[in-house]
Amino acid sequence: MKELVAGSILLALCILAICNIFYLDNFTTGLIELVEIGTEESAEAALKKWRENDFYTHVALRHTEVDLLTAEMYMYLASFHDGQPINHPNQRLVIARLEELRSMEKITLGTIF
Amino acid sequence: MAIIIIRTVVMFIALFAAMRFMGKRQLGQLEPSELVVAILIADLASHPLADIGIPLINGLIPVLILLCGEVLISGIAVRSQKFSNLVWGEPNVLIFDGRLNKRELRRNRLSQTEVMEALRKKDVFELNTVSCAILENDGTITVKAKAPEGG
Repeated sequence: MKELVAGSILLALCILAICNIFYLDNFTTGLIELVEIGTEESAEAALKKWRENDFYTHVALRHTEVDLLTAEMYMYLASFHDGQPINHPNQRLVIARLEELRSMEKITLGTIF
Repeated sequence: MAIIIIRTVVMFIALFAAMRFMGKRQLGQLEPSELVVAILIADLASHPLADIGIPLINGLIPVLILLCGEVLISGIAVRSQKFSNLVWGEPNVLIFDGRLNKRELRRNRLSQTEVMEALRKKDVFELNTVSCAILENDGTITVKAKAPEGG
């Protein structure tokens, strides 16, 4: 009986992990697409979407990574008020950070080792 | 500070439940693989407690996996002698009829001095009084003395 419970838990964890990979991939890809648009509205939408998923990000990701990306998104948003052009370094920083987060859960030799 | 307190309580309950689920009451009864799991669990569980920047789930999930893996392994080992021998090894006869089995001593990287010390701890001072001495899977040596001669 205990073995059955243990096996079920392991299976559930595997399924949960696979679901998390897809969810994180979709989530970060959506954010990257918004940021790549390069307008202030899309940047605000990206930040809003990011903040709305605060619970998930703090449960699934390291808090330092979450806080770092939040700060970078605000910095990116602030760059619009400075009248900065598109393809600002802050935009590239946010996209790079999001791509880093996206690759965190991907199963590769690099992430395992 | 409150976060640390809550995390510690959660982790304590999780570890306690894990140990109860494993079903062992005494550390001395653990097989080597179970001992490894117990040590690993303690170390893994401490990371989210020491650093609140690490999600609690990063400590709970490895603990859960180790626990479930150990329960599965021990469950299969109980049902299959071959698997049990593979995972936990077999007891080794170190002494038989008063004679040291040097091959087994070498295999287990035991010196004669260590074996004699273990015998003395069981109040056995002469090798020729030992019927057999067995190195158990948990590292202890069990000794059976020869029946006393005469009437």
